[in-house]
Amino acid sequence: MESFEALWQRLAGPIRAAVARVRPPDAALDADDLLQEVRIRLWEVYRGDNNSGLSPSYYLRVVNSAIIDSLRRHRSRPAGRDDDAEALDSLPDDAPGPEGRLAAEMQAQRLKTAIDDLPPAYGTAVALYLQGYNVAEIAGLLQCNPDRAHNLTYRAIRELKKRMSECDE
Amino acid sequence: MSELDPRWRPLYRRHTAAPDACPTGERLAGLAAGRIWPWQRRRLVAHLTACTDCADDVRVLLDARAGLEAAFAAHHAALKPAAESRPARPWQPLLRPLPLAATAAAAAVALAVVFLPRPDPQTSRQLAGDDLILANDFEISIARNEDPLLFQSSFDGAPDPEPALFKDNFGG
Repeated sequence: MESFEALWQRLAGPIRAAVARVRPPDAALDADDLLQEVRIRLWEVYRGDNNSGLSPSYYLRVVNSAIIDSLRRHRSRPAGRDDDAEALDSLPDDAPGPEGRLAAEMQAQRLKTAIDDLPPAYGTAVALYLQGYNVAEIAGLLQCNPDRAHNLTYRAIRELKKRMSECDE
Repeated sequence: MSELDPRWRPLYRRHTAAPDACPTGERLAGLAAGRIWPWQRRRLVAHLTACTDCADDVRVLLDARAGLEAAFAAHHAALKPAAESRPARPWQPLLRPLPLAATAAAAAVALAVVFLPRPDPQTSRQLAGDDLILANDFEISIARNEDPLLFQSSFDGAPDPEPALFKDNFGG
């Protein structure tokens, strides 16, 4: 048990930091809840591993899987409680009106069409970039070296800008 | 890196809603850990480009990956100090010269194959006598339109009235 506690002390920090970076604190996610769920899943595997014979990569996969399941569970849970509804009604609504929504919808469609028209490698790179991945992460996902991922993303962005500006004219 | 219009990222992400069938958490965990088959990786990456929720989940894993790997490695190392400090077996020093000797012998054979002088073809012909017909002689005789020595295979060496290619003693 002591060794599990030591392991968990090492793991909790990176998990909490990553969740805080990617999922902002106002999302429907309590980092403490997520950590507790991951800890329970990890403990179930650790308890059965009497000789610590399981490899670190296996444990990494267990933790990754537990994080994803917890993130999904928290996403499906509605944010806020019922007694907050009244307070929410009093807040100003800064959402765009119907015309603004329609314009945004059309622009999003134009952006998706422009991405679809790019060469497949460019389209994938720029879509990942728009999803928030940095170049190193894109390199990891595409299984290529960072220089190539950088060039691919740079050229894809340049091409996308060119095509979008052509649409504007 | 060329900068995109700052409005595009939220616009794209807002309009890439989760499709009906997202991959399982296990699959995405494997992707983030770099332990997945290439064709599965391509399909999952294509899904990430179109699903903001899964893209965010995998970003969490990738962000945490270095820290988690370091934590597991440190934990694994802390649990296995005995294996590191185990004394070497007493007979091991006796075996060490053997691989060295084997490597040296292999290198000597390789050098001998590369650098030993090869026999001159002319010398070989002299050693073998005039019965030896080299491929070069055959080609030269063909080029000169001379009567070629076309695989006469009768044992007495008497010339065939009709030279023929691949004629043997079995009526072939």
